[in-house]
Amino acid sequence: MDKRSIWVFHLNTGSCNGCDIEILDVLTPFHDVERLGVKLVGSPRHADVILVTGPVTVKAAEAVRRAYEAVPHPKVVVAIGSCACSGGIFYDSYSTRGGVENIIPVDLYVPGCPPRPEAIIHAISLLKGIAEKKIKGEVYREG
Amino acid sequence: MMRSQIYSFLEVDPGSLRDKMKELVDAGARFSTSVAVDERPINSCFSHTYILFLKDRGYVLLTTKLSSEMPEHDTLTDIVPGVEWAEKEAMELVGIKIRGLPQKRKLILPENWPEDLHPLRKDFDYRYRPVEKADLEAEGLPIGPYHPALHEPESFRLYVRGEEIIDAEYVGFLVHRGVEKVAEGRLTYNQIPFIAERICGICGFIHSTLYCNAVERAAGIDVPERAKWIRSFMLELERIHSHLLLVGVVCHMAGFDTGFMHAWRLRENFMRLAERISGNRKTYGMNLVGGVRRDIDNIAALDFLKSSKKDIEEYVSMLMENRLLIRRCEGIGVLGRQDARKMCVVGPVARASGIDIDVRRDSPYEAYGELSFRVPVYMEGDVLSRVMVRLEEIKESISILEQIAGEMPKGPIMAETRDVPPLIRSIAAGEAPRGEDIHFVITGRDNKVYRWRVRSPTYNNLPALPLMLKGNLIADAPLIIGSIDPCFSCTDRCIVLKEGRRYRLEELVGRGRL
Amino acid sequence: MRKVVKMAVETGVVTRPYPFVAPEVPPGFRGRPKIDFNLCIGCGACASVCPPNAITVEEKDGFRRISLFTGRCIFCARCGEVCPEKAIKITEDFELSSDEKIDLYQILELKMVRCEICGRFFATERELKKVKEEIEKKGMEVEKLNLCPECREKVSAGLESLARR
Repeated sequence: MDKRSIWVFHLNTGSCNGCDIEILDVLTPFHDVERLGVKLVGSPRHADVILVTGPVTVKAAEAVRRAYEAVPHPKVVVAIGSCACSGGIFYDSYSTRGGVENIIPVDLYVPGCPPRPEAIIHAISLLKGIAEKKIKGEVYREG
Repeated sequence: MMRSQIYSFLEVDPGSLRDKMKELVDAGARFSTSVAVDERPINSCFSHTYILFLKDRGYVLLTTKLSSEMPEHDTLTDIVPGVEWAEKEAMELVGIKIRGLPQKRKLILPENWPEDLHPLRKDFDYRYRPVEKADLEAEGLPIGPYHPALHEPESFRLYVRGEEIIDAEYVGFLVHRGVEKVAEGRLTYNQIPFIAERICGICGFIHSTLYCNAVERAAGIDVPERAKWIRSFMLELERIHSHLLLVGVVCHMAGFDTGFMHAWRLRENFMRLAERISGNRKTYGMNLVGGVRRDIDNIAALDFLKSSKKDIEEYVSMLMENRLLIRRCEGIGVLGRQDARKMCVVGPVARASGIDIDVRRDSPYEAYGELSFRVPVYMEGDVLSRVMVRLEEIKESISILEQIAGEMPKGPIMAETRDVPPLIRSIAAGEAPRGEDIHFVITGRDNKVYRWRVRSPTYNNLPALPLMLKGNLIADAPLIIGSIDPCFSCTDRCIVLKEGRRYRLEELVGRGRL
Repeated sequence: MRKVVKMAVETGVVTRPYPFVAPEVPPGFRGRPKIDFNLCIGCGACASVCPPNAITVEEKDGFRRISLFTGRCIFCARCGEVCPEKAIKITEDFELSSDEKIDLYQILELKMVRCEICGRFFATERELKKVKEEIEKKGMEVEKLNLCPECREKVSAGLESLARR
């Protein structure tokens, strides 16, 4: 996206709070993401980007879908942490849905448990176009 | 004063449960939690164990065995009001019928969960999902955050008359991920410390340490001394970062953002120290059954601690100079001593209301039997006391870290591997940053546990919230809720009050800030 | 009021302007595990110890497929601890954001060997090569390498005819 400033809504779908605290850490003096134009808003209706954490518990699934629908187009969904990317260590429990992509479409995956604040800043920089993607899939077949 | 943690078993039949409980409570026992177990595959019965603490006897596990066709017994809420949530959990997750317990709405599982399906029974596969998603209207739309920037999916409903709160209800457990069942279903002994650490991203290390302690006691594994001291070091580091987090949040709720930023700036250095030692800022991943995986370098730690003590003292004196903050927190959200005892609250919430309990001193575990520290106790029971208790605990923790770094014994950090005998029961208790944390383990076969129960501190503190909120103004609600430092991911459970108006919590935060 | 101002002035600026400067990473940081495709022998020790099953081992069409999904990894570094060949290295990478899930996978397919007697695939070529090396290092002769564990038991007990049936 080529916007100067990104307004971000944080949605916790049942995470342990590790990723959430790191998102909050990104606002504090050492990392200070506000210098990149990012602001945390209180309502999904004001947001451009949704940061989702947590492995989507059964009780929170409907609320996630409604929050997603409340965000106006164009919208970007960023799955922060291994639980949001795929369910993490809770991927097959009776009480989770295993990853946010089972409920809403995801645009950017940020693995980590929890991801470092710098990793979250790297994800935001990818959205703004000021950093490069550094990971690539690898497949090798012998013979 | 005990030098190590001791526990004993006491079995009674269901008919004598109430009398025995009354006898122990009259002798001064404190109720901790209860554990319900489906023992049909091993003993053809169900069992319900109430865990109590007596000063001279340690932990007492009061167990009763129930029939496998009709497991039921009478409630104990009239003797100890604090058992309510533990009994509700036994009813919902294991299917033990507790006579006399009112069940208005489900506590943990969604409302549309089938009535006769109990997830923690042994005939329920941990992957089976009978419900795709919960019906939102019955649960209540998650109303906003308790953190200003964090949107935790819990809801508080406040019943108000004018500006005054008359009652509160918590509807939650939206963070319930089925940790205990996943561990029983899929994980081996040495994989469970990693899921235990992810029960909570703020106090994860105490969970993995206590689980390891419980299994080590069941198996008779002697953890090397150096490993115990390393664990105590990481535990105190966790306590410091958790308390600084909370002090920052309380400042933000009161409208003092500078305090918030400085608290989190000071916290960052402790996170970096943890990252240098363990490889990650949180989720240290250092525990395995029998010891720790990494060693620490004492010298690097000592240098940093000297300068941090001065920084913390400077920060505290800046806070105390701020009349705004003091006025906002004084006399608000009071929990009296009698109420605190009835509801069996733990941790800084109890110590701020005059109850002098601390597991590190009363029932020492790891290296705490050999360390000296003060336990701060305040009598007022308001938000300010809870903050002061935590600020003093930060200072005490830094002094404990200095003692550990200076006197740590040399030696191995991991015990010899040994087989864990099946079907042994044990518990381990510890002082998490929020209060007493208890783990109960029954070891199983094939390198897996048979039953693992985690009761984290906020579980006992949240039911006391309505008492704290009553009579206060709505604008103070976020401050009061924040002051008990609720860790919903540890607890998994939401309060609702109603009388016409429903408030979104961020509206209240906005009202409460100046 | 005075202390607040004093503290602000003394603290100064602490922000580190990442991503415009390189990030600070302490030694021993537990970043992303990476499989070295030349060293892995396909034993599956990493998969059995991984708590979230981010490493999976499947067998299909005569190939053993080891798949490491970084999206489910919890960065506990247990795989690096137990690998007998040191083929899984714990790097210090943490900048792992990607818009496509396929970027988070590392997949290795190793050829498997058939048992001479019963014909089913039972081990990878590299595993057997390693076993042969270890035995020859001890100065012993290698006999009947290409037999699966069940058939080998029967042959050793002198029940070779039973095995062939």
